[in-house]
Amino acid sequence: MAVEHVERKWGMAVDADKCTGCQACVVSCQAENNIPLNESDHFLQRRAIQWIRIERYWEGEFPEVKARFVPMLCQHCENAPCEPVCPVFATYHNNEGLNVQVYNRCIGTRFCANNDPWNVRFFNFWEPVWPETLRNQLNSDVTVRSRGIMEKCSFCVQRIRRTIREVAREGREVVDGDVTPACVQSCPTNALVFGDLNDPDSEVDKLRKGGRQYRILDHLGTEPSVYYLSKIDPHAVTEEAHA
Amino acid sequence: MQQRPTLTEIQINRDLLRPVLDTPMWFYGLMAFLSIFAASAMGAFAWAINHGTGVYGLNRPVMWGFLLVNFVFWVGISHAGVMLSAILRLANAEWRRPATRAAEVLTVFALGTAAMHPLFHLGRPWRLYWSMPPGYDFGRGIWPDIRSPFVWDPTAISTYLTSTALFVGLLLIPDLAVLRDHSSGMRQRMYSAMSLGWRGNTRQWKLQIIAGFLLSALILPVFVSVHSIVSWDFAVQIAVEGWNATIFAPYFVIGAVHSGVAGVISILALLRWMFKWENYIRDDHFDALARLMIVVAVAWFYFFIIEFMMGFYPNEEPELSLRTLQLTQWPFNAAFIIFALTSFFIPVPLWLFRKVRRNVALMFWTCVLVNIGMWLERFLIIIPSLMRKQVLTFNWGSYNPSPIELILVGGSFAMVFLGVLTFVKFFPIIPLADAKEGEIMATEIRVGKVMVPAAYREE
Amino acid sequence: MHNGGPHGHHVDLLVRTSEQVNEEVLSWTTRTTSRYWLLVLALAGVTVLGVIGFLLKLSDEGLDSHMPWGYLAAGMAFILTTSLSAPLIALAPRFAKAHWTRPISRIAEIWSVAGLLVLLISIPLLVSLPSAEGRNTMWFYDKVAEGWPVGAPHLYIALGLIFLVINGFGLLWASAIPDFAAARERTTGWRKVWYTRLSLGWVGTKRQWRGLRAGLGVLGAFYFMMLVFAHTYVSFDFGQSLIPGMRDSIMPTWQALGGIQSALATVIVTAFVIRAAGGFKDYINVNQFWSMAKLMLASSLLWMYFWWSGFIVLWYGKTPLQQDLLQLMWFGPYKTIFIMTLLLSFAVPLLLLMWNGLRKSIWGPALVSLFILSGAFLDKIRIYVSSYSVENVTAHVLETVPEGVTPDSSDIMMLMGVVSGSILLFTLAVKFIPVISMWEVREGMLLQEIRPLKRLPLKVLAKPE
Repeated sequence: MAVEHVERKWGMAVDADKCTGCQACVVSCQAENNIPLNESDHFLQRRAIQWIRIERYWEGEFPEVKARFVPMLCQHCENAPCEPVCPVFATYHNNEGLNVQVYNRCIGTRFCANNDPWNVRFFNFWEPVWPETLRNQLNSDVTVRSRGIMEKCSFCVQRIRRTIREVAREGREVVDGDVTPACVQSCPTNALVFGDLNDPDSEVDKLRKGGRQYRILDHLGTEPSVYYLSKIDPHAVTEEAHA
Repeated sequence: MQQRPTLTEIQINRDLLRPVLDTPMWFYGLMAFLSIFAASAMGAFAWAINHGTGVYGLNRPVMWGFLLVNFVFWVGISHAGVMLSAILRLANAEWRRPATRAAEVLTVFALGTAAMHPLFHLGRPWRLYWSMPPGYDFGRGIWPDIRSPFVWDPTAISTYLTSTALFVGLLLIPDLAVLRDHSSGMRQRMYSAMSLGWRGNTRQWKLQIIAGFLLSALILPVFVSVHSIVSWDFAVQIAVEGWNATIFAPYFVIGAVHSGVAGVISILALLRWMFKWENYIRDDHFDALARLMIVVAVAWFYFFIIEFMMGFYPNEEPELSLRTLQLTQWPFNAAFIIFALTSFFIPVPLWLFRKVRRNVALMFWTCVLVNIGMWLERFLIIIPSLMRKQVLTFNWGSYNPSPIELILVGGSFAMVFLGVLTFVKFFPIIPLADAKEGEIMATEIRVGKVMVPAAYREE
Repeated sequence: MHNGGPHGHHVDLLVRTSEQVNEEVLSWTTRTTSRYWLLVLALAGVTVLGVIGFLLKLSDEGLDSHMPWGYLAAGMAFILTTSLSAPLIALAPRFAKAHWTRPISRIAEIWSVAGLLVLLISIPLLVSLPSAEGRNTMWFYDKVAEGWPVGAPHLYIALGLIFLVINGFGLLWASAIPDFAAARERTTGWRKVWYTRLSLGWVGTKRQWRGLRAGLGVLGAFYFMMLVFAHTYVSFDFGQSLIPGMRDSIMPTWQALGGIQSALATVIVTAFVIRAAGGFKDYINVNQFWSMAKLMLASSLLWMYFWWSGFIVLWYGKTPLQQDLLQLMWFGPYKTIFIMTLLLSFAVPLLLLMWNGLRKSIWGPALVSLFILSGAFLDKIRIYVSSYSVENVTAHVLETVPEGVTPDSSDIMMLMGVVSGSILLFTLAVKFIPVISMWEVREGMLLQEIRPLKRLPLKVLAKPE
């Protein structure tokens, strides 16, 4: 049976039920993508760069308090509000459904970060400094950014590209499970699932139609490619969560 | 208009050209003083280029701070030029005469200073030209993205700046000719070149008047569009709930006129005091300008009330939290009260009294208050809204301006004043031709037993 | 009589004695021809037709739901934006001490009599308007405290409209007092009785004049504020608040601006008709039309600017709610009406009024005013019929874009009746209230002169403090 080559649309499913808030995804993303080192100063200045972060919300009143973890990363929206506002086309939507950030085109207006409802865009306010000893750790597949440039989760586009090239060399098509971004690879509970939303056989497509799915800030109509699967909690407190 | 002394042409020339031809020493002292602040602003900018935008107090989510507030503020001030010059010229209002060039010059320098702010706040300012039209990037073969309000901005601002500069320059020609005839040596050669062979014959005057009307009419749409486009930097964003309102464009424009005309009034008061121009910048002028300010302030207040009320109207987060932040939390609560008092509730009731309108010192200080209030207004719009973008409270943030930003903001005021003063040094800030025309057009009508001041009116 | 200069330069100042002004204006006021009564009859007939249409609809649909009454709401808003806004043309230039409005200020002020019609129409509209419970209104009902503010929105709309109309009548009466006094000396019979009563013992002392000017100033300022407020709450309560989730902050200000544009158009058309029918060609000349045409051009450009400001924000965001709103308001079932409005309220006025010859004429602004009035009429239909067509007003957001509502015969009769009713009220009023403000025109003759300046006769305008 010939495999129809449909346009890919990369997406992710994040299972809030399985996420333990361990932050392995955060660390592996930092390692894979040459993200600048975040010192405590940066956190205090609210400038820490974490392409994927764990947002922690408190639900309920003491002693019935629960912590809810929401891994937050770039949603790669189909109607991304961050894209039309960039004056220089430094961010655009590619034909595989990715919201792409072009580092050497960015002039640092930070307009995209303001029009980003999930605050998943990060600006290099300072020149990233790599201690001598850590330079060998840098991933040669990923550009090292300088100051004045916006960056964000790219769904590990370098891994997507590399996989597609390698798979083509093997003479076959990309199937579900071939491409794993760093965060997906490192999640101990498999809370993060990545794949082609246009592929009906992919796990991510099945999950996003499974019944538990929702999208954060859906009412804005931006069509995020990241689906969250709601927590199954019989003891859930149904009042509003707060940070 | 009340009785006023009649002035001869020679007297007018002498009085109005005194700052140019016979500059007092304290003038240079003032310029030197302002230069210190302007230079420190440039120093701060150099520091920021050297170290990166980290020297500002910006963070995630408050990616735009004091520099954007200042940018919007100066674009706002620049709107006075067209308001007074073009609209009053088209309406043939007699009381525009001393104010037109001062307003236009304030526009030029305010706009120029505002235009520097993108350089300050950009992450990579050496690439600014990629976003400014035409902005073709030869290295990558890409044009700017015209969907972005940050491409509309430089288009509008550069158009406005060019047209205002043209406006000032064109209408300056007859006065440059007078300067040419009153100076000698190097200066005379400079003025002679700039006055483009002006002889003051009928044909040249006719062209001059037509050009003034034409430019006035053409610049009006530009004026409305500039601050509207600046407002759309904010209003088109759906991610910041506090900004996503349809009223922003006219609200910003009327706010700009409010702060701009107040700025011109302050400048006129300063000029009158500095050069003892009581005969040229008269009490009636302040009276008329103050009455204009009442209308503008009331209109602005209506827009403000609607905008503020609409924040509560949908009854949803995060706007409710945003408004709570603006009204109840430090320092925004103080800023809000000061803003409300200084931009409307103190000045406008005062201006209702004729005695206040004709008191130059009171007019100066109330207009300074208005501008303090309007700076705070932009601050209250921009920064709290970024602190409360969406319902995701984990991402709610805060902002503290850094010393570098404060130096840049303070220095920008020095830069604008320095620019205006430099102009005053080289060119007459009150149009000689207008002042002389005003003398000719002024007359009286007998009504019963009283002589009422009147003016000739051209069709 | 006109004063022509040596080069045929047309400089137009009214040249009359005081007595001639009084006599000319009053004789027109007191004289009624058969043509006049025919007009009154025709207008009354159409108005009765409108009442019949209303009664028909009332018996068919009743006042339980607001949904059948969209066209009536549009009619009321149209009268608000044309007749009740017209007095602005008298107020604003008076504040600016302009002379050109003197001959037409009374025409502008008399239009406030249509306020009676507005009050009448507002009764069924208010009865059928749903309560503020469960939906967003500008009165923040139930948001600050339970049940507060009481009676929102009906009470406040009613109070606002009542005060507006009373203010308008007060303004009209105050500005007519000196003319009533002049009329009482020159008429007999029932007219003399009423003119005497209404002139409140006016003799024209310095104190009385000072009081009158102060009163006109205060009443004028209040009227302006009440009118802007009326545009705000009418466009909210009959429009925006009936569409769940709609948040368009520029809408009330845009409507108020439309009021200014329509006010100019109303006064221009009325001045044109009165001039044609009354022989006041010396009083109302090209200057009045030219000045109003310039303002009308400016307000048409501003109209477009305000619309664009609203559009760009709603369109750029592309959220589902905003897209639905765009469909409902402009690009969905009412697209044709909207395009016609754009043409009539902006494109046609711009393309016509930009020509100097047309702008500085009498027929030109009058023609453009007809277009603008038509555009305003269609615009009100678009706004209020669409908002009245939303069924579930207490939903959180607009769920579906409702179908367009075509007018039935009752709607058409009501609309015709509304327009003719307001014209009827004006027509009846001008036979009692002098249609030209005699005292303002006489004052203007004192304060304006033709004098030569270096061989060219020019107008000299006095600006007393």
